[in-house]
Amino acid sequence: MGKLIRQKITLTGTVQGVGFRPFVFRCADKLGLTGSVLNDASGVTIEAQGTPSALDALQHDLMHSLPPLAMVDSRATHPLAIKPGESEFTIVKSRDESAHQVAIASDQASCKECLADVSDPNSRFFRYPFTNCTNCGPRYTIIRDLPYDRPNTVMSKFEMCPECLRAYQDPLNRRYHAQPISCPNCGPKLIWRDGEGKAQECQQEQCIARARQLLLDGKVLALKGLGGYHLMCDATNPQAVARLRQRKHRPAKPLAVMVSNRAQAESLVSGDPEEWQMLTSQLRPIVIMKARDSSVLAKQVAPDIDRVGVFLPYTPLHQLLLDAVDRPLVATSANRSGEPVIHKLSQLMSKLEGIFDGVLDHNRPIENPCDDSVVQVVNGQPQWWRVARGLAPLYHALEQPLERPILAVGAHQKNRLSVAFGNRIVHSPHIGDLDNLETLGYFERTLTQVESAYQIKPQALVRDWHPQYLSSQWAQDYSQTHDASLYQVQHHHAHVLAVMAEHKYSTSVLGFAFDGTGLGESNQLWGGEVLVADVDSFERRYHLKPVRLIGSEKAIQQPYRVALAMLFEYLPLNTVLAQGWAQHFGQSETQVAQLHQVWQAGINAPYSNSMGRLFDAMASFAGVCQQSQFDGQAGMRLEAAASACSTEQGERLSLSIKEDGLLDSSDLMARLIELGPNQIDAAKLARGFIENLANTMASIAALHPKLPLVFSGGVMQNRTLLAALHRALGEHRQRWLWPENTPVNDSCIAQGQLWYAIHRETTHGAIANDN
Amino acid sequence: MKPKHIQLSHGGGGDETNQLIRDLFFRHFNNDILAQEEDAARLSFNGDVAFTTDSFTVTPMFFNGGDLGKIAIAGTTNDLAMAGAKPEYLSCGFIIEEGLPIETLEKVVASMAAELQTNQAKIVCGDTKVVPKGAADGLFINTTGVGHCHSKPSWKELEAGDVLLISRDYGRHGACLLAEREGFDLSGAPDSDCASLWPTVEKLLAAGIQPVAMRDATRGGVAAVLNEWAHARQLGISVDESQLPVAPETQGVCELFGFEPLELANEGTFVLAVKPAQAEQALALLQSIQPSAARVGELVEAHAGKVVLTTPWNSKRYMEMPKGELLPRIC
Ligand SMILES: [Fe+3]
Ligand SMILES: [Mg+2]
Ligand SMILES: [Zn+2]
Ligand SMILES: [Zn+2]
Repeated sequence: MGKLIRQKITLTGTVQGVGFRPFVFRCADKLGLTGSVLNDASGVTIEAQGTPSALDALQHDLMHSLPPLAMVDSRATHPLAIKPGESEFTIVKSRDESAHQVAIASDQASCKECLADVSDPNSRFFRYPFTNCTNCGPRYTIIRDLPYDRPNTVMSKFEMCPECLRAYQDPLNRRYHAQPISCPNCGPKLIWRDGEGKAQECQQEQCIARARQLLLDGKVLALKGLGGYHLMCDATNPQAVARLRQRKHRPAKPLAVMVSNRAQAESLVSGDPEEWQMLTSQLRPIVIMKARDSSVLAKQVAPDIDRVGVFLPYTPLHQLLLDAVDRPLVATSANRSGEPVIHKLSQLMSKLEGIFDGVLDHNRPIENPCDDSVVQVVNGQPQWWRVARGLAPLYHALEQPLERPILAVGAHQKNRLSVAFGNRIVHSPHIGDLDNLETLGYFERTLTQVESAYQIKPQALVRDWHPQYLSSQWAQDYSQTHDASLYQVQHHHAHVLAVMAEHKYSTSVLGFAFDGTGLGESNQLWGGEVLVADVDSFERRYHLKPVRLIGSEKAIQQPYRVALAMLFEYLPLNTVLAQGWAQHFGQSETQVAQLHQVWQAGINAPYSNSMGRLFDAMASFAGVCQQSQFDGQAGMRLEAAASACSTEQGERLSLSIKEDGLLDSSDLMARLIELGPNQIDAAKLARGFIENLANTMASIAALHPKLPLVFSGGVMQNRTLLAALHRALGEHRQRWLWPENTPVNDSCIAQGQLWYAIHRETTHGAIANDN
Repeated sequence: MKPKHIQLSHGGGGDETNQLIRDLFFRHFNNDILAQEEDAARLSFNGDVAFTTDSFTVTPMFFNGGDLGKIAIAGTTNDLAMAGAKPEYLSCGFIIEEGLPIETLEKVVASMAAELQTNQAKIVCGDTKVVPKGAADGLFINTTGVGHCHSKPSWKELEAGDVLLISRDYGRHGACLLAEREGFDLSGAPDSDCASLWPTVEKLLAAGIQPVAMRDATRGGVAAVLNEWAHARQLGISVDESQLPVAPETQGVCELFGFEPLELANEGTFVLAVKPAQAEQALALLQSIQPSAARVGELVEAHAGKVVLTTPWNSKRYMEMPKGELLPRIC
């Protein structure tokens, strides 16, 4: 035996509850090391003794062979004096102290081994819907408190049977310290309930059989999953989908579809390798993919849109059900529009009464609700639309520790919270639209959960400039009642900052922030901004020409109002009427004349230079969307229309860049007016508008060759635009900061706000205050 | 020859002023106290009185369902009625822009007289000023009113459990004025609800209804009244959206302009809080006067200080205090 050395290795990050200690134990076992591994408040501490080459091999494994769910923020190594005669490597029991430096891990989809157990008749987990191990299963949704130990989870009420206990205690078992471990003898059970929620006498296999029959009969099933209930129905049955839509009062917004495996997905959607990889990854997100014309899906699943969101089962229960029905199922969160996903039977009964015909329920409580994550893959890179199950809570490390905790409260819609304390950043899962009380309650609950898990109280808050966002009002109240500082960040600056934050970038970038609306300077409604921004401030270098929103929010619901306002800028009313635009938009001439009066008087018709509204107007001119039934519908329909026209054959509809930075739509409007209602071709219009916009953006980028590019805002979810932009920018462009795990819609606002405040707090000390 | 328009000399205090007062104001407002022509009106009261003042201006001066004169009386008498007092005596002050047609002034004054009649109230003193062209917009009127209390409703008495009723469909005045702005051509817009509320209150009191609180939903509309009450008492108010009475024609104007009817002004619509035991009777009585009267909600312990609206889909959102300009929060 050669010379021995001893090292102390400390690791922080997502290192608890993810099988880290058994992983270290197995490495040590394999490499012949002695010593110990333990969880403590700051993470994991290893003491290892062995030959230098064995210790090198351990370090290598700690870098490259981590357990699938582990994420190391930092790793430090110190030499120690050797302990002569040491002969064992041991896992030391958790120290009983507050573990607030440890991250709460996110839920994970079933691993291959567990699914194999579930389908193995000889396994004790055969067809057991709650099978999990250290590499998979629930985390965030079952945790009540830190440290992550079984008594601190909803599993505390299930006593382990001897076999499960043995596995739990065996470091070489895949289920060693898997907190939610359970089996048919000791764990949660399925419950079948009728449409009134009454439990029925029913064995486990019978529960699944009943759910199957209900779905085959074209009825609606409520299924309790990981982070909440889903409403499900047969996605190939038009009546079933129509019924679900009608009962849920959701006329048009696309519904996600769960399929049992990749092969079934391939019959519904097409995609490139990166999309398939995302679909089958352990994150199991809903992936927005291209719908096949030959698909068996009912049209009602995603009406008038050429994309559909698909995902694979992520618990054994989902897998068992999907295999049983052997067809794609609509699987939409059980909630009312804009509200958080329902995670309790009582809520399901009181809020969605009459919507479902049966419930496949179980008795493992959901402590923290969490929705499905949604992603699309563009140019081979993921773009997250909703960050929730599998990803959230999301952590980042900070190089410089903060003196006091900061809370960023985000936007009004698609809200998410971001918190920073010590040297850590935490982003909450998607919360939702704060218009309704349920979501506001979820917002407060999420915050309380973060506060109690990490034992922090925010002492500085960050909000949007818009004083009427409920998040802003909340932050205002909180800062007053708790005597906390309050920062305010402009909405589009925050959009750009969010992407900068992901790249830990603080110096100048060229930020395109194209979205619906956000409050800018002097109470203007912005949304078509190109900013030269750094972490402190921004300069508004280019912006779209403003147009009136006739009826303010009404114009957001009715895109033809924006189209009309644009026409009114160039044509007198009688010409608008004579050319037949009223008919084109499906409105009466009287209605158009009245809207003209409102436009002229400027009553409740604020100017806005939003790019999202320009997309709405184009969808209206193209005749593909006059009433917007859900956020983003106009853009999606425009994309669907564009797909029927080649990139070269689009109409010439371009914005011109004026000296003062105005992106002028006069030429574009002149062309549309020249064509008139009769000659507008939806496909050519849609294609031409999007291609030309991408070219304009590339021209602007070329004017600032030294600045890295950031593209943010809901408009940047437009895949056709992103693809065109990719082409237009070409190979020799400057650096493009792509948001790998930051949504570009308003879900990112808190992250951007936080990045601003972190910088203010660390460079100016904890005294700065915008108020 | 008599001038057809108001001149600066009409406010000078001389002959022309006297002529105007006699020919116009006395003729329309004539009553025994005014006829005394003393420097001040002498009144006698027994018991508690309520006393209020308000100034009025409206564009346009004449609209469907009312005019400046009607509002000038109804506005002040309604404040008395809401305090549980019978409007009895009023003062009135006119600020007239030079050049106002006398015929216009007379129409306004006649309308005031008619509205006084509805209230069985009297104008017992007054004042007239004429200002140079441009210093005022046509005509401003101030009225002050006083009358005996027949009941003493107060927002301070509001308690959880109290039921909230509304005297008729709301938002009409605001919608009417929007539609009648210069140059607008909106057929099918509603008439203003402009009216005196004392006759209704008198009937409620006579029937033994004991109002806990009453408020006419003028500027800021129903949303302002409910928010003020919830905030002042630190109680919650829950409102059932499906019960709220809005006329289709009001809704139509709101659709066009993108306004929320709950935030539009009213000039003859009030919110009434009563104990649950009297709710049904009070509602029936209100409906016998205005069939659109409705129960809108109740005061609750939960969500103190906030008004919560339950939508027909059973989801809940805040009914917020109307803001001057509501900028979209949709991104
Ligand atoms: Fe935005
Ligand atoms: Mg008043
Ligand atoms: Zn597993
Ligand atoms: Zn067991």
